[in-house]
Amino acid sequence: MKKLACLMVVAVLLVVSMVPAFAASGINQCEKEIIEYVQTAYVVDGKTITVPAEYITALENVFTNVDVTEAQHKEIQAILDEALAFVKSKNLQKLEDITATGSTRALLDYADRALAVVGYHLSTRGSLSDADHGLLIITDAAGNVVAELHPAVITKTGADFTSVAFGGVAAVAVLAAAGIAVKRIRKESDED
Amino acid sequence: MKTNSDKNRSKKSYRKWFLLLPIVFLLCGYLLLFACLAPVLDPLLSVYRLAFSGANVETIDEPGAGSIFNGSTGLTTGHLNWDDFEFPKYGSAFGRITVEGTDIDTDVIYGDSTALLKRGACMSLYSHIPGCGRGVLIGAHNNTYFHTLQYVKEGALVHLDTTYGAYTYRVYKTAVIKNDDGAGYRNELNGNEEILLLYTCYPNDTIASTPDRFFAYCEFVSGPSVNMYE
Repeated sequence: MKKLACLMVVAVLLVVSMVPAFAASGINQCEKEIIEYVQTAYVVDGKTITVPAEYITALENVFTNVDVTEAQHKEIQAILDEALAFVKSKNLQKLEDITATGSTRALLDYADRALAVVGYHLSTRGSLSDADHGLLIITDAAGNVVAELHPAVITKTGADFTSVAFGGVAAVAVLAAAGIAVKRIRKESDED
Repeated sequence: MKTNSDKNRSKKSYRKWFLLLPIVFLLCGYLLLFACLAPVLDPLLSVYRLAFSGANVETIDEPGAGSIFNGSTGLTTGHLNWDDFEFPKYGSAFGRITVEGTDIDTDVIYGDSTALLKRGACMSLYSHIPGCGRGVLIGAHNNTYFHTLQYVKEGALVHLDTTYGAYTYRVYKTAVIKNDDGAGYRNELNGNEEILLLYTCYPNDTIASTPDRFFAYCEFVSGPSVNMYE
């Protein structure tokens, strides 16, 4: 896809939709409008830069656990407009543009501000340019995780390394103990 | 030149190490053995229990006995509106999956972070829940829950019981693709047809990280349809 939408822009749009989970429901009119905004609002040189379909799916999934009110919609929309203006001012059209212009922090701040409207908080783990390990984490006011999103659609499903790592640590411990002991004994022997 | 007291001290130290080292190595050795054998200890313990605990056919745990899935409605047809059921919450075990011709029988968790992948097969938030008539993407580790996925044959049935309905799919294709090969799954994931995509790292005996993914593409057979929109 030549006109790949900016991941961070999508993240902003995704995040603002993660409102309190006390009113789980279907996708209402306000939420439909936000989805439409995500799909059509970003136009550059007469061309709409749309987001990958799987991000829209994630947005739909989030909306099934929340119920955006009209008042919240207006407040969120204002922040989205600000974010969009920022994106346009920086001419962010590709994923690489975000890091190239140093816009990551600013976009995350927009997202966090939008989340704060509904008492949520956004944090990240690792670098978001690392598709496998980078993570966007949304928590509610009590600190419970509401959603976690890796940039990569297909996650790492290789061997669970817990036991392997445990074994590795044990092996290193054995080797270290052996090394120290041998060195010490040799030293004492030399002294004798 | 060393004095006698120095020599005595040295001998004492040597004796101390002579006692301590075997203990340290023994403990570390046990730790190492435990870590390496942990994956096979459970089956061995099961055999032990079977042989010496007086267990019989009635008392052996069925596959899935340890599930945290609360059970399905069993609904296999019909239509569910958004207010007819509760959408899954992030991190919840909202389903159970079994695949014919494999040993797969595990919980399905909503979300697919590294932590959740330790608990069962995980549904990606980039896909729809079963019943929406869209792509459903479920992955799991190749050394645990989806260890035998690569042995599945075309035509095998996949049963996916959820908190709101019981779904059946049929495997129509398998393939090994690269993890960044979007062309290998995007059409199915984002199309307007209900396709279940099961995947895991390939091959299943690899310890190192691999870019290959084994995919089983499954067509919809039965289950209630779901409307997400109000």
